[in-house]
Amino acid sequence: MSTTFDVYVPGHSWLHRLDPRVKLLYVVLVSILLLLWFNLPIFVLVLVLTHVALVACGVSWKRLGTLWRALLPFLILIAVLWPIFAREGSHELLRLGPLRITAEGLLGGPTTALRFAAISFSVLIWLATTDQRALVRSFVRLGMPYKLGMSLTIGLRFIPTFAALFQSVSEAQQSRALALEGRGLQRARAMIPILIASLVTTLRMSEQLGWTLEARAFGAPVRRTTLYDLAMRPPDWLLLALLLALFIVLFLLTLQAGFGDSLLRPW
Amino acid sequence: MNQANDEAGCLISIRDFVYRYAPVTEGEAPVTALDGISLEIAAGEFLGITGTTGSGKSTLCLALNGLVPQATGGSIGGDVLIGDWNTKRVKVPELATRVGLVFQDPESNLVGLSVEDEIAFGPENLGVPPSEIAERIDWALALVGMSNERQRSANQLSGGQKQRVAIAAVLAMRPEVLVLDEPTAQLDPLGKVEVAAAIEAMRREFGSRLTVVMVEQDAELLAQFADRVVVLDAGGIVMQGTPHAIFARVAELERLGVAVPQLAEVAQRLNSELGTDFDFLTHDEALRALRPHLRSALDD
Amino acid sequence: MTDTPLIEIDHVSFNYDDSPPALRDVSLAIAPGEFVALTGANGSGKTTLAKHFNGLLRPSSGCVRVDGSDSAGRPISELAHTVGYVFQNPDHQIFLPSVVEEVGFGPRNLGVRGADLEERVEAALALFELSDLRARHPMLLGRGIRRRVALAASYAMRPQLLVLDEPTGGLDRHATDQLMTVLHDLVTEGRSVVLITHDMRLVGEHAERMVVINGGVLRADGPTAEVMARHDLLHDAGIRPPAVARLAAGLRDAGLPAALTVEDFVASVATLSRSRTAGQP
Repeated sequence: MSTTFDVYVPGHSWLHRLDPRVKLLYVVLVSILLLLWFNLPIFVLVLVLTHVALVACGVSWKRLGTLWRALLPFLILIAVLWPIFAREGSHELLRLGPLRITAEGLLGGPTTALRFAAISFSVLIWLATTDQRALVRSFVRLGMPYKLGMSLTIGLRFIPTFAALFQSVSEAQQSRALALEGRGLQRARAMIPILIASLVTTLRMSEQLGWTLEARAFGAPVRRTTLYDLAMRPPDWLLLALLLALFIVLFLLTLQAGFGDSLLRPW
Repeated sequence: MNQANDEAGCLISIRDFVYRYAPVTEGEAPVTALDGISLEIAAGEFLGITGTTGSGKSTLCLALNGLVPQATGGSIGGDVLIGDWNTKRVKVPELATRVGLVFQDPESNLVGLSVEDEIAFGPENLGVPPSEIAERIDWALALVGMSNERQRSANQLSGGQKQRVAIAAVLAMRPEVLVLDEPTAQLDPLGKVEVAAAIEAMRREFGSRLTVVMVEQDAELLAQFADRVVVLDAGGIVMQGTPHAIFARVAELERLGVAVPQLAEVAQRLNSELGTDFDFLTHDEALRALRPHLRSALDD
Repeated sequence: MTDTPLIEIDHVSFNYDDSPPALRDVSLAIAPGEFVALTGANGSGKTTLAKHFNGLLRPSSGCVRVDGSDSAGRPISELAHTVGYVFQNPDHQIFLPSVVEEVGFGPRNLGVRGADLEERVEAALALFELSDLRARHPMLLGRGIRRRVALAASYAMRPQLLVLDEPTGGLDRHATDQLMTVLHDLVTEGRSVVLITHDMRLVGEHAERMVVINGGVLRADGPTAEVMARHDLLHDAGIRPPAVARLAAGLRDAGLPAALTVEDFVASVATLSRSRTAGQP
């Protein structure tokens, strides 16, 4: 019954084998384009292609469904609020004092929502096909200081441990008749015994952890080696080049020719 | 910096070692954890240490690799020498090339995202070339019987498995001394058996090339592995000798609150009831000693 | 002597979401005044079962009755009046800055106040030899003391049934014996104790009834001496009888009866030796 909060889905697809830095670049580039564009069919297309890629890599529909369910409250909120606050557009549908709902606004809501979803699922492509070690390693290779990368690794490693700890503390305190029912402030106050006991155990563990690191020669005055290092192979370079090329083309089209500008038609 | 494994092992020398933890609250007196310990540990020896909680066992473990006093502060007297390295002066990461330490909490021993990463971590810190790291991982995993769990993450392992990975991770650094601080204290019986098997395998692999210091409250484990047992009480050594010699002194140990193997208890009780001279610790020893006795009572 | 069992587990099955069942059709009842050992390897389902006693877990199918009525719909805070649960790690519950406050937390949650509360807390402190440490911060005290604080805290809630999960880790022989004495006193008073433990020596010496769980299934439930004799069953369940029991079993061909404790074994050997010596011409 362990919760790992791990988005990674083990597999050997071509996306899995791709260097994580290339995947990160993809996320950055696609996000830039998605932010520049404001076009419903394009966003839908990106979503469809992203889903195809994810399923092809072994990510189950169930997992995709979980992300949709998590995003849904935000998507609905965006879709509803956008028409109310974005008042541009010429096809007015409703006017009520300061409120002005237009057809463009109404369409813009779901469009913005889907933009958000498209970016989220693009991030998922990166995270679902990159295991935690490769992820941290890619950050370090891109310039993150090693010690920070180590903190990140340890943080990730201990997430399931702390989740289990919190659960155990919660059960122990409930067994002492701590009532967790109730709402709002009452419930928040009831969480205090759980938080304190969890925190103390966490602090104890952290001290031990520091000792373990030192006992494994962390910080020894030698140049550190790495068992598995990331290395860009020809397919990685090829894809990198393709991504950059595609990005430049689309970027220029967007700026010069207004690609993705209007709501419903690319041109 | 990393001593070759085939060089003669080192001698650990503890001389009048005193350690006081800094008081937790202002105005309180510092707590004396170790009160003048003197102990010599020969190269290749398997030393067992036992005592109740608060007797200073854990502090002694931490003193062997320099965490006491370097990471714990407090005040110190006397010396702990690993060969000619003084644990007050040589930094902990450097001492780690000669002394490895496994803690009793399986969670705190693991810092990596997978078993493989865990075992690689120490050698990586020491600058060992990647190809050699890979060999050491294969070797260490095989030694503790975890070769199939290479890619598992820490939270997927049982307690016994976690401790075995911790032992493998430390051995991969090729230390001359391995310190185990109650390695089975938090494990269920299956975990204890697994760790005992790993220690056995380690014994067979290294023989006298590895010096082991093991703190344990599980008297059966000490009886199984230790050449010599030291009993601590209130920061001082109160008894030392072979496991047989120590665990025969059941009454004294019980008075100190130290766990005694159940069969040692049986032997002593029989001796006081029947005036016999039994000295067994393990199941097989007990069978060998009792069968003739019962049969001779039978043949009349 | 009341007829209503304290706990009735009635054909209970349980599984965490999407997982294979952790408990399969388990039925057992615990009456007042019983000392029960609940044994099994890690992952066998014994802790899962015990968590149904106080409502931490609810059955997927079957019924759990606490003090005669169904536990369904009754919150843990209500069931805590009847069933206490002491967790394995005392650090998972200690959070108050003094021992006396910590011990008072549980009874306070149950609505106990004033002189009643004070009496209960004092009694618990005295019983676990914590009276001198009442004002101290429990987190700064040694591990053995913290465990006694956790035990005292649950004891002060005066439950009818006390479940203890591996309560003897970090306790020396003296403190363990003291705890067992406290538990036996509870049983004499008419309360019940469920001891979840791997320490078969303790089970042999203190539990009158032994339950074995393996693979989520109840494999054995009966007097300790009987269950301990079922070597194959215990072996399958990952349980090893105490060293003295195994020794007695190994010497059965020499005429020695089964033994669960050092006392029993020594007495048997003494009897055997003396009776035979007496028979010598």
